[in-house]
Amino acid sequence: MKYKVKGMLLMLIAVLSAILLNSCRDELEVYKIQRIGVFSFSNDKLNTQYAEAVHFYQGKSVLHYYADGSSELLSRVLLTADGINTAGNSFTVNIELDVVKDGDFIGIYKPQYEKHLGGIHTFNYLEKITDSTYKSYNLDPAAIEYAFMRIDRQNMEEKLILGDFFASMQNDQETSEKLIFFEGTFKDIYYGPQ
Amino acid sequence: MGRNNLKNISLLLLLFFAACNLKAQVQDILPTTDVIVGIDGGITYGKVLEVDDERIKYRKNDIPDGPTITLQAKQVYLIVYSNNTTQLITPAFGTQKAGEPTTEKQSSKKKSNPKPVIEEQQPLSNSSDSTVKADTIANFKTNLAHGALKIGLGFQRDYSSFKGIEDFTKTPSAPSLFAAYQCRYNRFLTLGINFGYASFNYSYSASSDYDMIDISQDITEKIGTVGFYGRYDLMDRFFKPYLVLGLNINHSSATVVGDIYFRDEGKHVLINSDINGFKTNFVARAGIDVMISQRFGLYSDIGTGTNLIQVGVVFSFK
Repeated sequence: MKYKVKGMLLMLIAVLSAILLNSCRDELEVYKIQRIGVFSFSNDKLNTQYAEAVHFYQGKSVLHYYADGSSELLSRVLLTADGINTAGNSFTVNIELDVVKDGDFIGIYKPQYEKHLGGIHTFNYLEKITDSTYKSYNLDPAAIEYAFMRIDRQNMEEKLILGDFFASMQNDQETSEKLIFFEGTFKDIYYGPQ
Repeated sequence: MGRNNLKNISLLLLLFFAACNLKAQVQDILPTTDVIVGIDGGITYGKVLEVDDERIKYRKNDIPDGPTITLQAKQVYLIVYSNNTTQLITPAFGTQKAGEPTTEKQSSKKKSNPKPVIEEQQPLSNSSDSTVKADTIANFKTNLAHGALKIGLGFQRDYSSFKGIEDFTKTPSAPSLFAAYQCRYNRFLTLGINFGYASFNYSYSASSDYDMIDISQDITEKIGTVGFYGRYDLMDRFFKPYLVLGLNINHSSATVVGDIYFRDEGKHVLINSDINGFKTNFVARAGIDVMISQRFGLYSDIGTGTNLIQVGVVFSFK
């Protein structure tokens, strides 16, 4: 009886050891692309500012009239990026694009709309100075033709976009206060349903 | 008077013959002689004089003063003594003397009268139980030398020690090698130890136009296996279907070669890494041996383990 119990205990230990050894298989390092949404820009060409949260919202349908009198039904989308700038202030970048409804976002969007593509409806930058003080910037009319947002690549399966942008902004109240967005880049921004 | 006398004599003679016949019948049921059973099934009656590891000496019953006859112990399966006790000499599955108690073995080099000193003699009614017991545990060491060697090839890999291998595509590789030695533990169960070697190739590739990246990974996994198993034979004829349960301990070593190509930069990043480790896996298989001759056969089985399917040859040392 004593030997039977000993034998059963040994068998139990063997089985448990086997299960334990079996359960800890080596994890294979499979090289896969990690998706991390990035939205960054520089206002002084020295310091890059990164957004901490980026959202892409599908908006309403809008009708755009071109100079030649023709019109095109477009879809308004909103890209917002929130973060903290190098001065330690919270900021929000809001970019409204009007895009054709074919689902293909690739193209260079400008304030001057292009047929069968669309354009930039608004490009806005908000900076929180204090709890009750904000600064608001919009595209500088004097340099509006230089502003662009280029969606370079689009991943239809994962609903991701990447590209770059440039904009020259001016303060809404102090028009002499300029702010330039250099080296604006965005990558892996999800445009599907939130 | 004379007629009555004749009648009485006839009656007496009849009783005498009847008594003799009855005695003979009783002798058949309860033999007063020792019975020597050979490994070939032959039965010899006589008076056993001496038993040792090498030989059995006896004298024939019908010639009490006749010569002493010597038999090789390995030719004798068991002896049933006249007092209805048995002594197993050579187990059915081996050719070496076994079945005696250890204490007796140590002191039984030469015995002039074996019967009084056999401590574990069993009554005749329990002889089958004692034989089964003797055929199992006591004779396992003997059976070790008379097992079967299996050599085979494995196909359709069924095991990898790596998590995440599911994302990889199996690429052709040579069949794995397998060898096992097994011997009978008892009439139903065979125990065995197995060794194996397998080399498997896997590959993974991904390409993304969106990311402008091409990724490829190739893995060569080499697995050395040592395992043990229990096998249950469902039938012991020309065809021997069987079931196997066991445990494999695998040593895996793998070389991972990776290449990440950034198209827009025209840059390759090459990565090499090695993984080593021990892992176990349970084995459950079902198969069949086809014995072409007493010593040679073919086998095939299917189940879990390093490979799904195995085929090979069996060499029996019985």
